[in-house]
Amino acid sequence: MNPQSAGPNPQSAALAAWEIATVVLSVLVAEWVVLSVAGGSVPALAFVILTSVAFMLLSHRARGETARDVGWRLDNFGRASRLIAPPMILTTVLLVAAGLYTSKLDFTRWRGEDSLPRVLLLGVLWGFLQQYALQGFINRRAQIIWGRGPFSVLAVALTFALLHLPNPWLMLATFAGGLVWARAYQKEPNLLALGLSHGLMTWVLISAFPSAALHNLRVGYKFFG
Amino acid sequence: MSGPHGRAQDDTEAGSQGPGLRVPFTARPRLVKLLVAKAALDLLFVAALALGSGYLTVRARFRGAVEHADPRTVRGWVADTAEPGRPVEVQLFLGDRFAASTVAEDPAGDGRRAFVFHLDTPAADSEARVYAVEPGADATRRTLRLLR
Repeated sequence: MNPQSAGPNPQSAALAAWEIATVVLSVLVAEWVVLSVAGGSVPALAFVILTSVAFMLLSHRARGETARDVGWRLDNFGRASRLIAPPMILTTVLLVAAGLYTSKLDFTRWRGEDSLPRVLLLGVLWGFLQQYALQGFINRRAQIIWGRGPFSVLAVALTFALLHLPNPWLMLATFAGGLVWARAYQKEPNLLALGLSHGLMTWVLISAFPSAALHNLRVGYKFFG
Repeated sequence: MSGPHGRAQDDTEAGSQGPGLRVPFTARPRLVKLLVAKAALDLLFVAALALGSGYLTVRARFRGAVEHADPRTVRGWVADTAEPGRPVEVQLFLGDRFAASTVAEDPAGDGRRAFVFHLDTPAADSEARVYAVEPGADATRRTLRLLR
């Protein structure tokens, strides 16, 4: 039997599933426990983020994954961008049209008290971090369990939506975005293109709807605060 | 499996394709150790948060007492043991209803601050409770501590 065409080894699948679970659990702890019990303490949030990133980096090392394997590369940036451009353009047109229709379109809304370039830069950096965890780690582990294709793509999108509980519109948006980004990543793994796309789409989404409609993008315990 | 092909099959996971997705079996013990270490860290972290929040909830940060209460006046003192001498916001509840708020700021010695509530309309026959307001990490979270 050709090992590459065989189903995943149950032990390998279990290991990958535990890896996904531990990272997802850490994010849920940050969203639901730290924000409720520690009042969003920065050191506590930093601890969760740093231990999770350290875990993912050590896991890559143990598995022999290089930064290029994970998607930190430029050679396929153009191909990855072309893959995600059509759904991005379509979504942007729809969101801008909705914003114009409701007269709520405001491309400066995201900045708040800050400068727009700074907010955009932070948004893109946050996008890189989220896409790294979601695609560079969870998507790759999901492929170990379910292989490339619809099941692993769906698992990534559902995980992304789960992490945005209980904000209904954000869950819907992240599920749809998760499907597009996960599929694109499996075809052309490039985290730079996905991180940029994540930041830009967040900007368009925030610009199209008033903050209250998206509940200020709040998730986890903060949703109720 | 003793041939070279069999050896290759034994060295990596099956079912995974793509660079970095085929894991040497020798990496498994390291991954398991990593998972156990991460789980232990998470457990310790959540336990520390629980203990910390439990301590913050049950510790007696404020001392104080209601020394006098009649239908028109409620008087007493409060001391913030974390910052002795600090003026403390106090709230009066009659029964279960909020009645008034003030800041205890008159020095009463030994790090204590005195407060007095003057009620415009005489209070009905209900129990008066005074709570010290403990500020949270940000302006959105404040905790009421009953003065006993």
